[in-house]
Amino acid sequence: MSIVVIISHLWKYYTASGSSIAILKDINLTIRRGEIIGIHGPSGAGKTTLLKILAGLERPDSGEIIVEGYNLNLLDDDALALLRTSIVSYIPQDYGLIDEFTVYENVELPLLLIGLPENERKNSVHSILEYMGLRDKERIKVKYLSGGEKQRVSIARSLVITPSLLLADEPTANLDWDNAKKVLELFNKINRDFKTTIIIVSHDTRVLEFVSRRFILYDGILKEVGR
Amino acid sequence: MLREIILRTIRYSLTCVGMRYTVLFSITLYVYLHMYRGVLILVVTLALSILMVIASTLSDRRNIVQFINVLNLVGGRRKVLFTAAAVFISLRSLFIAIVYGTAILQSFNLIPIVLFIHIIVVMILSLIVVRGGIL
Repeated sequence: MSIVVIISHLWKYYTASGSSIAILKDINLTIRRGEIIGIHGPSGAGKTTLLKILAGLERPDSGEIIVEGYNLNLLDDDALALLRTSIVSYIPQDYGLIDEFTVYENVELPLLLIGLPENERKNSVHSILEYMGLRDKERIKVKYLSGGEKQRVSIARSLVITPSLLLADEPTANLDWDNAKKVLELFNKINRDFKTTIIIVSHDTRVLEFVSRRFILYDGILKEVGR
Repeated sequence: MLREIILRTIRYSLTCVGMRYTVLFSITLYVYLHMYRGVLILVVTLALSILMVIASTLSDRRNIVQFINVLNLVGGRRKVLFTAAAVFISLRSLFIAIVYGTAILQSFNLIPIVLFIHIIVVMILSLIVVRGGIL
């Protein structure tokens, strides 16, 4: 299997009240295509920071990150943005949707940025909404949806560009366990159907039952705990 | 592509509560400018209108920050982010500018300076929003 992500000697610091604190300490990780990685850790362990660095939304202080052959350190902000419209998709904990827009408009947004013609956008959005079972809700504003539905819309938006790497930040945090299970099963289905590599970070240990490789991120240190 | 983003930004900006305050302010400003004339009135209303644009943007800061964050998340380049922020904020200035525009007919020849100052304010606010320093 080919390698999708290589992280080597990654360090990230935050400055709080004048002193520098290491939030990620010498992280090393190699991820192969088609894997589902689960990273578990308490709040404040650095899970979100790690995902944001992989998505090019934050920069590391030292270390190297290579995603699909691109060294993220060498890319400027616009090139990283381009990466997010083609290779990497990030699903934030708060879903990252615009409440006043409809489901269709939210899912269409990445395709607008690519500059895809309208009919191609329409086809792509419709097929992904069909896949996610959201076709009947496409004209509904996101603010009227339940937490589980919002999560599915957020996943649909991330899938519409058919990324090779999907980053999910606490995808089950705002859901009851029944809905959480459905979302995690959906990630497995996406992994099978699209061969998408998925990284899920969560403070909930139950999430680890649904992944192929498990890690613990504690106090900035990442350790593999089994497959 | 940019045209679609601009149109959606305009629509989104119009739904935000700060826009309603701006429209109310513009109506008041219209009445005031047509009842009273003079440089002092112009200077005072200019200061108030700038405060109005800032207050209106502040009242919608969660919306604009969320909008810019979402665009950034899905791969919006810096030019797109700045344009979206500028359109979102300048729409508030636009209503005020229209009122000042009608006042030109009342022979206020300092109006172009007023409008220029508004453009500068919008640009500064947009830069603050895009750089994540809001507000």
